[in-house]
This record gives sequence, C-alpha cells and structure tokens, in this order.
Amino acid sequence: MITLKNVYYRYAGSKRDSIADFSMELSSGKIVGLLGANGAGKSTLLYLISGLLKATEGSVDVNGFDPWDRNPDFLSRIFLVPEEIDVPSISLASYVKAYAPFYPNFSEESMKEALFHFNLSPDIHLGALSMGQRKKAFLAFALACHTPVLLMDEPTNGLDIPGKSEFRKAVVKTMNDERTIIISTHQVRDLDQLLDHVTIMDNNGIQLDESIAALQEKFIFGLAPVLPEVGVIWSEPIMGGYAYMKMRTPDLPETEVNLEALFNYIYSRSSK
Amino acid sequence: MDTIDTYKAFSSERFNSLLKADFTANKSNYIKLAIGSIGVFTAIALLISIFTVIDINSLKHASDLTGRVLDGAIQSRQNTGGMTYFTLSLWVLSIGLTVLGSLTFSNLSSKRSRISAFMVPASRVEKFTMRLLTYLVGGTLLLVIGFFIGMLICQIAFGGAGVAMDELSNFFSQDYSFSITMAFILMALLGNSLYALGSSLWPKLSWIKTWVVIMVVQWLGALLLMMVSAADISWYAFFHFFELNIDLFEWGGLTLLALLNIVCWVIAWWRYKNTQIIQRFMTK
Repeated sequence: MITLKNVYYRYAGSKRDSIADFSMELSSGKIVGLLGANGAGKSTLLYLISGLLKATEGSVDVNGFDPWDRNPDFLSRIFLVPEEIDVPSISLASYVKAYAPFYPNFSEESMKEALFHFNLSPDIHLGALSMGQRKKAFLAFALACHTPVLLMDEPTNGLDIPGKSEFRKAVVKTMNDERTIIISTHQVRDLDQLLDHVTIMDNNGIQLDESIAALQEKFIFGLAPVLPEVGVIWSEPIMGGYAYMKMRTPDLPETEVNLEALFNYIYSRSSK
Repeated sequence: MDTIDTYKAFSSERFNSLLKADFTANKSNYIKLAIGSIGVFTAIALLISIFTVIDINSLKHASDLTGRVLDGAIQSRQNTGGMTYFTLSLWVLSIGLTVLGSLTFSNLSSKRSRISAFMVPASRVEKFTMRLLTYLVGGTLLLVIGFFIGMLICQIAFGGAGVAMDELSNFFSQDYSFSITMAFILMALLGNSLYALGSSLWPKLSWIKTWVVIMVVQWLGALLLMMVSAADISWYAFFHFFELNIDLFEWGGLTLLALLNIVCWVIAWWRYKNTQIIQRFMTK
C-alpha cells in the first residue's frame, strides 16, 4: 500500500510548490499509469515515493516504511527505473552478479525471459550497447528483481517500436497481486492496454484517479468519420474523421479506454 | 543466488557486497586512480634519478676529483637526490590526500549517479563508510605504495633510498619533535577531510571549488591577522606568555587540528545523509 497524505514539495529556489496538498492511496496488485504533461510533478512524485526527495510537508508511507529513511529493507523492496539510466560499463553478467544479491526476490529465470522479450543476449556488455538497448537491459533487471514496488519514469523513452510492445508484454508477465507498478509517462499511447488504473495529474494536483474498469463503465471511446450528434464530451479531428469520448449509458457496450483521448479530455477540462 | 539480510542497519555481509558491487562497477576508475597515484611517485623518482645519475656520472668523468673526495661528492649527490625525493613525496602525498578527499562523494555528481547510489539497498552508514574506506584508506594505501615504489626506483638508479628511508624513520622516531610529526599528519588529514567536505557540498568540480573557498578563507584570515597585528596591543606580553606556555600551545594546536578534522567529517556525514536527488546547496 502506498499512501501520500497532504504532501507538499517545493524545490529550493522555486517560487511555487512542485506538488501541493497531494493525497493518494494505492493498493497492491495494480499497474498504475501516472499521466501528466511535462512539469506536472510526475517525477517528483516518484522521487518522493522512492525516498530520493523529502516531502516539505505531509507524509509518505510505502508498505509501512517512511521512504526518506532509505532503510535497506525498504530499498530492497522498491526499484526505480529513472528516465535516464546510469549503468556502469561492465558485462551484464557482472552487473547482475554485483547487484542481484541486494534483492531477495531476484529471479534469474525472469531476467532471462525479459532479455529474451527484448531480444537481448545475456552475454552482452553494457558499455557496448546503444542507449535504447541499455535501457532494455536495465528494465529486464528491474522486472527480474520482483520488488513489491516498481516505479518507472518514462520507461519507453528511447525504446524502439518493437521494444515498446515487448516492454508491455514483459511488465504483464512479471505482474502479480503483491506488486504495485507505477509507470509515469506523457507518452500515453505506449501504455495502451497495459494499465488497470490511471492517475492524471497537473500542477494543481490529481485531476483523475480511476480504475480502467470504472472508466470503461463511465465513458465510450470511439473513432468515427462523422461526430455522433448527441452526448459527445470531447472530440478531436484525426485522419478520416474524429476521435471522440462520450458518457456511456448502460445499454451501450464497453469500449477500450483511449488514454490519449482521456488525457486530452481531462486536461482540456482542468485548463478551463 | 544468495541474498542479503536487509533487516540490520549495518550488516557486514551487505557491506562486503556493497564494496564488491562498487568495485565491479568502478573497476576502471579505480585502476586509473591506482595508476595515477603510483605513476606520480614513479615519475618523480625517475626524474630525480635521471638528474642525479647524470650529475654523478659527470663527477666521475671530472679529472680533478679522485678517491675519498670523489666518493664524498657522490655520497653528497645521493643524499641530495634522496632528500629531494622524500620532500617532494611529502608534498605529493599532501596534495594526493586533497584529491582523494575531493573524490570521496564523486558518485553524487549527477542526478543519474545519485539515483544509482541512493537506490542501492544498503544503509546510509554503509554507503558513507564504503566511500570513506575506498578513498581515504584505499587511496592513502595506494599513495604509500607509490612512495615505496618511487624509493625503490631511487635505490636502483643511484642508491638514494637510504636517505629517504632515514628521513622517514626520523619523522616517526621519538627523537624527532613529536608535535611536528603529529601536526604534519593532522594537517595532511585535514586537507583530506576539508576536500571530502567540499565533495559532499559540491560533488561536481569539487577540488577546484573547495580550493577557491579555502583560498578565500585564507585571504580573509590573513587580512584579519594584519588588522590584529596593526592594533595597539602589547605583543611582548603575548609572546612572553606563549614562551612560558609552549606545551599548552602545542597541544592546543594539535587538539584544534584534530577537532577540525572531526568537524569536517561530521558535517560531510550530515550533508551526505540529507542529500536529495535534486542537489541544491541548501535544500528546503
């Protein structure tokens, strides 16, 4: 369980709070998409959860730990994949041998499987890889650690198109009821059909915090050459027609959530 | 795969793993550091050897020197070479300790490296101790090894290690002034701890930034001293008191140096403990 209560964070020298009066509660067994525009405070939130920042006010609790204590027990149960990774120029095998013992749930099987998904060999040297490949190798390690909390900041940045798809598969593969995965991104299309909970935030805090199931129950997401005449709450012209969103009535079948449409709808509403 | 018990605040098993992981990840940097440390002493020893050997050879070829006079002159050149090596080595050792100090928290110099360092499942004490052990103990050991390698070169080239060795044993002997030896050691360690403190405050370009700050403080201190000395004070009384209580001043000075060392490390630890991922000088 991750609980943030009335959290404030302001960077030194900044005139405004990066996060203000932010409260959130996340139970385990979920893949949460943390969506927001650049500068909305997504990374700050991940840093607060991982203990890399200390909240100016309020409290953060992650499975009974105060992250700021940076207790080794806590750190062995959380893994953060930052947007820009820092891996030493050594072989992947040496890296795994050096760092895997710190994670009690690390599985070599999962590592091999994730590497296979990303089309990487276990014999690679991290220094000889491209940025995208290094990120894939790091993601494979992060997933194989099986930490109860896995935080990923813009994990699909730098990944090629097949890599993004393999990333989704690899995440689903390592998911279980004890694990909470939070993926922060502004590239919402990369997370299609991966999430089971969506949190959209901007500078004013959380604008939406709903499960995918609840969203499917509430809204209809569609594409049409001509906009429906009634009930449309948001639309955007696309090639050959419109992407739209409307409120769902019980007689209408549920549709896949279009994260980009949802995000744009929420942002257009909050900016009014 | 064996995993580590994560419940203790300081676990020797975890500490060993941290050391191993750090060495694995930074092996090439440590090799460069070792080559650099040993290389400086080797280069100094080689330079002194070249000049001393040329000097001795020119003496041997001079027709006007023979027998005991020549031997005495050669001995004098050997002594000078050995003394020069010893003196320069002390200087290099002192500078080397400041460099090692400035590298102590170099793993916090970028946001990416800070994330890597902080997210490793080990306690702050373990991570801090690991850096201290690597850069203070390990680094000093490398410098000492470098010193002896240089001495070996001097011995092989012109037989000048004896004087350097004598100087070294004099330095630590009871006959030599204990307070001077202690003051030198404490000053050298203070150089290390000041630069380590600087490294915790500004890990990027740490040596230069700390050097600038120390220079500014020294200039301010000199200015203050000039102002005090210009003041209308009875200096005779002061120096008389100083002469009468020389032991008190010696021990007071040594204690002050030791305290300054401790203060630097305590502040460095406090800073390290409270460092956040967004490194600003004073974080709210």
